[in-house]
Amino acid sequence: MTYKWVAVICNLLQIAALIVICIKTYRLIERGKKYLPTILFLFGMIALMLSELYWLVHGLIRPDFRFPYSSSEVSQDGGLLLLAAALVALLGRSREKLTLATLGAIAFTLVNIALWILWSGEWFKDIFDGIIFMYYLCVVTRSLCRTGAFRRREWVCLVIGGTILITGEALWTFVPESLQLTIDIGNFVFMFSILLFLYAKILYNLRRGDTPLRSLCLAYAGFTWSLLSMYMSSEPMYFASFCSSTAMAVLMYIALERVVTQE
Amino acid sequence: MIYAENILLCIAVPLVVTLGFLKSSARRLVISFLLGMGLCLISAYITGYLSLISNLSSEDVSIYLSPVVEELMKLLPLLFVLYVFNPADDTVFLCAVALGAGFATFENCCYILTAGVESLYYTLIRGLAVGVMHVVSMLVLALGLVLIRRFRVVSLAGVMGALSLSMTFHALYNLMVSQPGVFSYIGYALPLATAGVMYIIFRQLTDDKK
Repeated sequence: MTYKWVAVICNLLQIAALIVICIKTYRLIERGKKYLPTILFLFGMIALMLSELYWLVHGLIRPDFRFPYSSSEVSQDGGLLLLAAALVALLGRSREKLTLATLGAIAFTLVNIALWILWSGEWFKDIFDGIIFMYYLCVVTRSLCRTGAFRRREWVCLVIGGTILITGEALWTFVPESLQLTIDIGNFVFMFSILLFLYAKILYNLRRGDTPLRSLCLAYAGFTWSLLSMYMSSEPMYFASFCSSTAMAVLMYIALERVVTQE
Repeated sequence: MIYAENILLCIAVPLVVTLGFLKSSARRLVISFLLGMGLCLISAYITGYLSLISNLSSEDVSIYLSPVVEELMKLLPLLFVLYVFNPADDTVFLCAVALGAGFATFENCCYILTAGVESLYYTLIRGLAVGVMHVVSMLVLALGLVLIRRFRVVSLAGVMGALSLSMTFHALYNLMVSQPGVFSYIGYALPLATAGVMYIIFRQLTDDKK
């Protein structure tokens, strides 16, 4: 089976999962107590679903034509904005202007944007997408701080892990080909270790059940990390990150359901 | 080659005269309809210009550029109405639907004059697909804007999100109908199916309000 068909299957799985999430979120509007965050979440998920659907159809109809900023990217950006809006609506606006965590998120995204431009050469798309991703990451980081999702030691580990990963990714671009595989393996170990850590945290918090909002913020963080892993990986590891983003979207819904029905 | 401006004048003049005899919501409907037709012409100018500077084929332009330009153009008057006149939700929906219908009507007129109307089958598809698509995309946009206004929060993110939904829906339709065969059939059915879903949601929302 070629990578093309693996990509199609992953796409179909994600679209199916997102459709189910959208239907269940729509029903949740009637059951839940928080109308606005639920409806923003629903719109966000619809946007992500449309983005994937467009990507799938485009890949099947015009596989050889790549347009730098097509509707798939428009919809994904819109989806991220709406998901961020849902989180802001749940937590309320933060009065703090610039915290260390926000500055870290901005710096991390800026380095990522530089790497994306280096890899793809699509300036406009990468900068535009990057700005929206920066806003989304800042909202998620703030929510993680406000809900106390990570202990101080965990934050330090995450920052160190993220820095090593970014440095590794930057190094990969400049080293000779003979070294690229070694750096790639190291990067994937870091990337997926952080992802596994996030899964463990989300599942632990969901199982405990007493902090649904924290679980939701962690699921948002997991989804964000899965997206970043996707952008940093090539096939076949790309598919692992892709499937992880699908699983994280499901976890986001489960956490949201608890937030709007329990709190 | 057709003279779109002349066609617009021909359709618009009777409607403009009608305005003198209408009041309240009927007048708003006709004004929005006229505006929709005008926007269609302006969108065609902008898309034509972009096509010229980007060296894309007409098919590529209709798949990649038209949805972005057209949805953006349709959003602007709706935002203007929303923030300047602050009308009731029903008025927003009325303006949105009429804008979409005006846009679709003018686009269909121009298309039919260019391609001919010999095939009833094709004309029906054109009416049911493109016509409904513009109305549905405007309904999605209006629904998003009404919700954002109702809760008075995160307006920029909300507006961009609602806009992205209508753009992608439009782009998906254009992409699907560009490929003959199964994809085009799904594409033609997409606006009607979405209109059905939107109708159910719309009814439920209005029932909840009662």
